[in-house]
Amino acid sequence: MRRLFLACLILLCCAGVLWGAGMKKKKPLPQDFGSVTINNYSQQAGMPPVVFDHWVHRKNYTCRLCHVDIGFGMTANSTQIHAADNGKGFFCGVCHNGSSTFNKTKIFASCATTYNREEYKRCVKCHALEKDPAREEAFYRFQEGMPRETFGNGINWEKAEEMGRIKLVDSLEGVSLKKGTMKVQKDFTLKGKVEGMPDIIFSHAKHTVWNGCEVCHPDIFVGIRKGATKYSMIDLFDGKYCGVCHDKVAFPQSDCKRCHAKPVAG
Amino acid sequence: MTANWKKATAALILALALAQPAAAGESWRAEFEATCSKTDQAMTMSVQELRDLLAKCEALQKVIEVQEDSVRKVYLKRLALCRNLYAYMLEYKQSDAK
Repeated sequence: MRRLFLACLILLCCAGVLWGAGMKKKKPLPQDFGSVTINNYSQQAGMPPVVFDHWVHRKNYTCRLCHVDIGFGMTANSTQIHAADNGKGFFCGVCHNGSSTFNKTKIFASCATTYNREEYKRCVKCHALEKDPAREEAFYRFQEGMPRETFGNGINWEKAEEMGRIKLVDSLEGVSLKKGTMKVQKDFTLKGKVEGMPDIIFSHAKHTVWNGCEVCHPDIFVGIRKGATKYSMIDLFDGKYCGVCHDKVAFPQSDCKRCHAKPVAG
Repeated sequence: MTANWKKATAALILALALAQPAAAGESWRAEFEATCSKTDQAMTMSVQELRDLLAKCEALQKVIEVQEDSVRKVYLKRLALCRNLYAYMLEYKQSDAK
């Protein structure tokens, strides 16, 4: 009896510890990595939330195009998109307007303020009620032809562009501003804090080609002097600095060698 | 003849008055393009050039704030991105000069 009571007590304690520690964050599947749920006004309008797949868009367009020229925020639900905005040709409606094309294929129109049963099929392309197996299949078909990596989508996007597997559009007629040539800043190293951990090589060139300057400065990186901001992996995993993109859309920070790339001397 | 001339003048004035808001609408967009298209050169600009651009951004903000909801939302966001970058570069240049 006493043993049974003791066993029950141990089990209860273990359950308490596990519950207190919280559930381990589930690693997203490759096709779901970078997916963002947008739900500012959808449910109020009687629609399911929008599930936005970053991979579908990043294979065709630079980050800068959407996050600077079109004006999408960098965090989920910060943009506050209304169906009316899309209908007027802003946000998703810049391309999803029923007349724009990509590779000679017409891009489906986004929101309508009124819709019938037939049109509802178009609504649920984005306002997803449940997972679409066709989307998953499309991802794996696309992934097959791409250079691979271990984490995130399992696609090395940087290499994919280098190899010419993807050609990203960086400008939209009537939306993007005509810019001059950018003078790219030099790459620099950041000292690793852990003994034996290779230093970080930060490449401005790699980042500006997709992001321009204003995506990162000053909203994400506010320090104006190298070394003035003290970064920690805790901050990064908390979604600050590099963590704004890396872990969410860009390759995860668990891929240490992608950043800690400078050979250790000696 | 005089009556016709008056009618024509009135029609011209009316046409100009109707065209003015549209032209004004176009002018702030052109100003926005001229101001925010220089972000890629921000690091090579002088302190004075950055100050001038910031002043233009302030003026543009006032114009954009009275536009309709969707336009206001998009363009204030876009303006903030370029204004903040210019302010950031100005701070950098000024700290460099000290």
